Amino acid sequence: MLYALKDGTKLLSKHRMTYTVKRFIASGGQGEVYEVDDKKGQAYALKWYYPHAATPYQQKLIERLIERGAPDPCFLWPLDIIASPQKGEKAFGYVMRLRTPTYKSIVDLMKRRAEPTFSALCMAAINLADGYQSLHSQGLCYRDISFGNLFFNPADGEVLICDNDNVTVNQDTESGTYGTPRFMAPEIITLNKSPSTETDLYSMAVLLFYMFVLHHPLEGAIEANIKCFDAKAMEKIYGHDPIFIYDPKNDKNRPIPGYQDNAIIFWHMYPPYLREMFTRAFTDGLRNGNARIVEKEWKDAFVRLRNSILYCHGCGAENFFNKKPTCWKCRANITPPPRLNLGRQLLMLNHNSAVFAHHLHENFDFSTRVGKVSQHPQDPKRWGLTNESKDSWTYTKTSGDTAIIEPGKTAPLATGAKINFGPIEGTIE
Amino acid sequence: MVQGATHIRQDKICQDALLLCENGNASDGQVFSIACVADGHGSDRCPFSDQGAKAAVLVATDILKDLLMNPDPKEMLAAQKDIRLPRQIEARWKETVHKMYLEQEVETPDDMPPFSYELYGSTLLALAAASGFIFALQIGDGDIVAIEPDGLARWLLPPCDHAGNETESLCMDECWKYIRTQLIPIDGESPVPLMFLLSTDGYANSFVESAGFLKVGADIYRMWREHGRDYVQENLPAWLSQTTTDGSGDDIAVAILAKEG
Repeated sequence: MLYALKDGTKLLSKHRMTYTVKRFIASGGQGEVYEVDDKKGQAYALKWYYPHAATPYQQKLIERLIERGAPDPCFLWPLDIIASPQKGEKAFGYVMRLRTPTYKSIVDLMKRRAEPTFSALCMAAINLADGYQSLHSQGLCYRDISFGNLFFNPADGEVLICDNDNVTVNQDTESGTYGTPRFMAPEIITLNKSPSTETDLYSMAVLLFYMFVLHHPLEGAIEANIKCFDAKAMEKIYGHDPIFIYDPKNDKNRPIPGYQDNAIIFWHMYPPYLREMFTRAFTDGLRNGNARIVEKEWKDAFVRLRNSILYCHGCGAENFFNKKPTCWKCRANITPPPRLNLGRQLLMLNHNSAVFAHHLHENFDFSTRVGKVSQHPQDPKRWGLTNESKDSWTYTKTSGDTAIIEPGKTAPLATGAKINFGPIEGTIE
Repeated sequence: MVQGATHIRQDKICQDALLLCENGNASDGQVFSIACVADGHGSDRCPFSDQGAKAAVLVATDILKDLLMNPDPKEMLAAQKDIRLPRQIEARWKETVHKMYLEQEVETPDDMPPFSYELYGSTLLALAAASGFIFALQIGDGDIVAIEPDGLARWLLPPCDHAGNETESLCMDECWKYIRTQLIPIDGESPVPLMFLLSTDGYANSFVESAGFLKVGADIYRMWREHGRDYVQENLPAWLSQTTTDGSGDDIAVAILAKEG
């Protein structure tokens, strides 16, 4: 079915709001999405179900979700419900916030139509895991985490999670939504298990792997050698006999150079702790739901990765800190910048680095900036950390002398010096 | 399919290709129709693009046919349309044209240019209609249009927006990234488009404005409804010849999929 609603159609919602259809946006498996305006001209998106999907069960589900409200602002959650204006027609739809074109999909990332920095990509991963953590903590299950329902802003890593109309309480068995092939946990394929928060964790790990490695974690030599990629082949690769492409105990499914290059290039770029987490997610976590990586672990790992970003002086590429960093792109040796050692966190102090509330409180708040690296206005060779918080810092030189760094003032980046931020003390290395 | 008026004047062979495939035997798998058209670039840098276009329609038809023979083709397409299918089309097309190059018979081998995919550069448009869905795929210029129950024609995939003769092509490095796809579920209870029309860009470029091109799509459907399929099939080449003479001068390939009765 194409264009169930014509431009200009006026629709009355359950909350007695009038919406006007502005344009068709896209169609999916369950329905079509339109841009609509309310009376004040505020734009929203309207998902309008195909008749086969416009079931009383679905309607009830949407009504419950509206009542419950979004678990986190990143969800484009149902806000209002609209029944068909045609008498006797069972069609309906729901209104949600409109996604702006600044948000890109993972397919855009794969096709390089979006080229975020690693820093923005880490933020997207943190926000993604945070969003699902909020959802799961309310006893809800997303059921269909895949390519199609995550969008992110390549500039800052803000994420939007769409298609929330299949969200149910955990382990609900009434819903007919089992997920998207290639993202479904093996037990859904092989044992017909219902989606749960555990299977969501698997799908989320696949999505994260795609974001960082630009490749599917189970598509290696076995996939490359299949000529007819039919349902049976898919069941084998993603269900009955899944093998992680970098399974340390099984090298049968390594990526093939020339065909699966993304996996080869990106996998080796990441630090061992992240590779170990992905390995765990797609070896133990393949068959054992309890062994899957939980959201907090992912968030910690991507914060650590973000903190460790440094730049190659030769080509400017982003790299990750290790004891002897060599640029993945131009192979030049990299001299690391000064670092702020906060005990459990090590933050690279690059020319554009900032200290956020998270670095002091470990609360994943990356919107409150408390300090930033800045250059001395008269002597560009001298760098410091400017206090952007409301509180004073105590700066201790290697000699033991101390100084107060008032808000707006800058602490020099001298090796061995300590900065007491209040909740935590950091050492410059 | 007609040879472009300019191509006739310049003694150039037709660079477009067209292939239709139907599987009407339900016991043999799914009932489906596939239509593919391709436009070889035809420039001096692409001397074998007529063959590249033929390879494109053959490869796309073959791959889509395999997918549509699956018990649940809609699910297979949903899982593969974004990455695996485009990558498969790229790999198979490149493999095919490379083989063509190695087997190319030439009078003076020294004049044979060194191999590059650009020698065979082509666009590709494909449409598959089956029970429960429509699937469209496109790289480069051209138009896939649906005539809806209200009689109006609309693009299934938004048209490319390129300056001049620039177009995305199968010969590009990592061309799979430029292959656009659209999977549209069709519900038994809903009105479905009455006709689909795929055409290489020689057709739309013959019109000053896109509205004129869309109107022609709707007109063809009207002719089909009023005079029948044979009438359209018989007259379409003459209409297209007239269109290219009065318009772009380019080759035109048009494939029509419509439900009869």
